[in-house]
Amino acid sequence: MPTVIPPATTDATPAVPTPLVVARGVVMRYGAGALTTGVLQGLNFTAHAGEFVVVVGRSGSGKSTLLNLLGGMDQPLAGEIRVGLARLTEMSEEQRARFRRRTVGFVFQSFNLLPTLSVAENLALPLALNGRASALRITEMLARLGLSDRAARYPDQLSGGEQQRVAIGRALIHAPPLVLADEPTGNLDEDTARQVLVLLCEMVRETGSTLIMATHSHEPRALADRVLRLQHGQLRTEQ
Amino acid sequence: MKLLLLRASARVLWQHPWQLALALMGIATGVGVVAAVQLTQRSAQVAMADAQRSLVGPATHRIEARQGWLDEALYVRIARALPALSLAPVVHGAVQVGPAAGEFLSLVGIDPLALSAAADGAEEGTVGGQWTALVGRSDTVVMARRTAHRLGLRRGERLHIRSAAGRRSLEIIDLLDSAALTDTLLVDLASAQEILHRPGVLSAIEVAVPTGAAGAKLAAQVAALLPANAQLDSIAGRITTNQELTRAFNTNLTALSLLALMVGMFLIYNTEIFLLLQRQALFAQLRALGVSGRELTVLLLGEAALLGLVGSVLGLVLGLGLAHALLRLVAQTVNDLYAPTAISAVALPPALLCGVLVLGILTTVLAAALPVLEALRSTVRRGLVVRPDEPHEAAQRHSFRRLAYAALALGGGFLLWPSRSLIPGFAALWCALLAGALLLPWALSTVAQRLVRALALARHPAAGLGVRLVARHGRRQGLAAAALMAASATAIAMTIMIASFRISVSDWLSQLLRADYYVGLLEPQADALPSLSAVRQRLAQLPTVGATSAVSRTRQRAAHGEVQVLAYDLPRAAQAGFRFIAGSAQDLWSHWERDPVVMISEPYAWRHGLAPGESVQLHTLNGLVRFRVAAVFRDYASEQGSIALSRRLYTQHFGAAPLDGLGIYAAPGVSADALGESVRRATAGLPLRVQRTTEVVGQSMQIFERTFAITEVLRLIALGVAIIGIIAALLAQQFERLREYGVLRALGFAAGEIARVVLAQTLLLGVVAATCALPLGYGLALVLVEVINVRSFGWTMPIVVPWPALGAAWLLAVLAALSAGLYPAWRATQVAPAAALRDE
Ligand SMILES: Nc1ncnc2c1ncn2[C@@H]1O[C@H](COP(=O)(O)OP(=O)(O)OP(=O)(O)O)[C@@H](O)[C@H]1O
Ligand SMILES: [Mg+2]
Repeated sequence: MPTVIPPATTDATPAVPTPLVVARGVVMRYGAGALTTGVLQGLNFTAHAGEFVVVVGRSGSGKSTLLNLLGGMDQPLAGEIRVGLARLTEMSEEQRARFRRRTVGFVFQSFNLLPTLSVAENLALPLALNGRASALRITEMLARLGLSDRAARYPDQLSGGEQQRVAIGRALIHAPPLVLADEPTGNLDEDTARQVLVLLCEMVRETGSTLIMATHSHEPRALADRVLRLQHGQLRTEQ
Repeated sequence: MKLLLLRASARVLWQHPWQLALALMGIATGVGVVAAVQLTQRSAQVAMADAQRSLVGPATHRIEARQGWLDEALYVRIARALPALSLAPVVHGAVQVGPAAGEFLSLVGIDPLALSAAADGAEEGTVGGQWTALVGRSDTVVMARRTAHRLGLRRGERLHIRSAAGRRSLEIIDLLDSAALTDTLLVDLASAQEILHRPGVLSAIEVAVPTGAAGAKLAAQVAALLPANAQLDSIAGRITTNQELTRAFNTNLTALSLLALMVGMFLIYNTEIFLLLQRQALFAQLRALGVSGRELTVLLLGEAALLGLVGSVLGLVLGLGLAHALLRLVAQTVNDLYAPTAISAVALPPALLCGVLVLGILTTVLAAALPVLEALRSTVRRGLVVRPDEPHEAAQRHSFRRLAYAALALGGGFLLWPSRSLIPGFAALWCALLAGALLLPWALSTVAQRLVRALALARHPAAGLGVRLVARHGRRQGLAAAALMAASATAIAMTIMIASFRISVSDWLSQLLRADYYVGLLEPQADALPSLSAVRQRLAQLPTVGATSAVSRTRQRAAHGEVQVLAYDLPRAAQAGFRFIAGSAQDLWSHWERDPVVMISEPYAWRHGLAPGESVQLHTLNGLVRFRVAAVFRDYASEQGSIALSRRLYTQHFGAAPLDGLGIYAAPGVSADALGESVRRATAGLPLRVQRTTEVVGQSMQIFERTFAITEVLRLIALGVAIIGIIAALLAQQFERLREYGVLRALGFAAGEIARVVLAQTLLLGVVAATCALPLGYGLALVLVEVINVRSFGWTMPIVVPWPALGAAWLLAVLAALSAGLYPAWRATQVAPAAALRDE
């Protein structure tokens, strides 16, 4: 199975900085015929384990598209994407689903908690999927998120900031090597956005995961190891 | 601008062709089943009426013998006395075509000249006058094209028949397109008498008298000319008697078809909710633009009516097709139970079609009204942001429950209503089913909530999620489950009813038929007076025969009209076969041979409100005579009921009657086989049917099974509608929760796990619906057996619960739910995560 990945370390800086994520010559287009929009045009990208990369770019430049490809949610038309030892571009949808459950944590702009599940159950889901159900881990996580008293609530009974905190917990509870955050603060007010961002960065540091974040706001840039701009289907280092 | 938004609203319908198609299918199947059952029933009635009318066209009356046959001379006498009267002599009988085990066709002998005279001015569609070709030609036959085609015969070829008089072959000289004459062979009167071995006698004389006072006078003149053995009946009256018979048989079909409509109604309701939810933002905008709530209501109900119209038209087409299929089953039943009647064409009365259309539209509007009103109320309450959420669903479940209790109370009221009519019975049935269906969403969510605790998400992510989806957002599944439960409960009720019926009938038959062998005439209308009595005498002398019983089935006039009177000659062993519902056996049998006592059958007692100790009055040779009712006996042979008395008493009051059947009891120490052997030898060469008792029972049970075969078909259709409902509900859920399926994919749910989320829902739904259907089905069966069947047939029977069959029904419902989940499950695995999660 090509899904084998290097074990996540709890160390903030890995001893050998091997690239965790490698994308080469990635081409992505939507639609057909005259309506074709070329979104990614031979894009190259590398991210190391434990690194925090911010991707900026105008609306419609392809940031979400890129994150989806890196997370194995979609396949590029051409090019190669590798995460750890997993060659995503050579895997079937089923194989990528198994890859996602172990290796990737997603944080979305619109939270995307499962409305049918309580807070605790939303947190339990990734653990259950990986066969590592643990009530203790959930309790710890709730405490870490500051949501211990909200465990039994349902998403529609939470504020936006609380929902996004649960989403961050869900993305990180199984300590995935790669965390992909697509405008995680886009739907939040400034203060809440800052709190959420800080929480996310801290928790990613704790698990030693690589964080790739697409965003429009300025705040994250200051915290990031690297800032890249997506323009004309290519990534370019900012500054 | 308003118009534009209205158009936008309509576009939403087109964007969900699946839901639209499923809603139409729901209406169409419900309406189709109702239409099919109605059409089938009408066709059977029309065919029966036609069969009676078509020979002489406008015949109004018929002269028949009370027993046996009419003398040919009577015809000549009447024709001479009343030369202006249209008369047509007829001989009926049955002949076999093809090999020894071949099928029976009815043979009708007519006088072509008399017919063509009578047919002058006959209405369109009658066949009088078309067969002058038969005149004076023996060994020729005219038959329906359809029948000839089925037998592989063409005009000019020869048809080989077997009858009492032996084998013969007839030349087919003409083929008719009359549906009423399907499976009937028309021959010249003299030939028929020869073929049937009935020289000089007639089965009936058809008479046409004008309407009005002149006609009544003429009829009275005819009646005055008749001997005691013959009677003049109005055919119009006969048709209503037949319709009465058919009506009783139809009862169960009507009940079933209405239940199918209810299953369809749930489907419509569910789709309407989906389509409304999809458009709530739009409605809010319309309201903001100044469209009034009433305008919007009218618009939406109008839309429902339009859907109802389209669905009903589709339903009528479906119903026609279905009716053709059902008609074959019904024709068999009518033949078995009542008369050898050919039913083939589906009659299409415009009033019936309109009625079914209106029913379809009303049902759709009714099913749509609740969600429409509710949606509009919430649109106003919440302004532009509307989302179907928890309190909303809970409130709806609450109002469902209140409605359910109201329906239960109403149904109870209908049951307590002191009436003999079927309508309150049907209404009660409907109320009970409605109440059950309305309670089901609540039952489903309650069970799901319990299961949530049992199925920890950490252990069973897929199944746990499915259960939680039902527990928190189970409205749609609740309604689909209600439809499934309604279908399954209906099937269970029918199963219990039929099983109870079957066991009662077979118990009754095996109780009643005490003899070892039964001897009857091959042709029912045979002139049996000398023959069966002679046969009986001959058999009684055989050393293997211990005793014989005999019965004559006659019709006599009672104070209120005609009634079947059975004259029994019963040895002690045969008396023990009767089972009494009321009265005392000892009282009956001790007076049986000596005093004017009778026993009456259960339906007769029910129809005429009679109890032991009361009396019945019959017109006898000695005038109007009172007979004391000593007992009421169980009897499933006739829906109209009958009066039974001893043969001695009968002869005393009505004169000698020919025997219709004999029961033969083996002498002590003689085996049934030995008895059969000797009886067969003694009756060889006679047109008799000699059957072992088990054969008689077997044949009767076969007829029984055929009668209910049609319900099997309808049950499966109702189940099919329910399956469609579940598929629709799951697909709608997926559409509304596409994003959640996308999230599951993003979290790494594999295809198999996604499928399990969907299948866990349908399994839960199926198990709850199937389980709730058991008690509800039992309740419906109680209403069917204790109310509907009693009111319709006058038959009571103990309820029998066929556990294995119920187990099968349970399993079938669960499998139906699971199979309904397969396609939606597959669709769910095809959700593309990236696309599903895109922010608009
Ligand atoms: N499923 C799709 N079908 C068609 N076009 C798509 C699809 N997904 C994305 N696009 C198009 O691809 C381009 C890039 O979209 P993408 O969502 O990746 O941009 P983005 O950088 O994330 O924008 P934003 O900052 O607004 O989120 C856009 O022009 C978008 O319209
Ligand atoms: Mg984006």
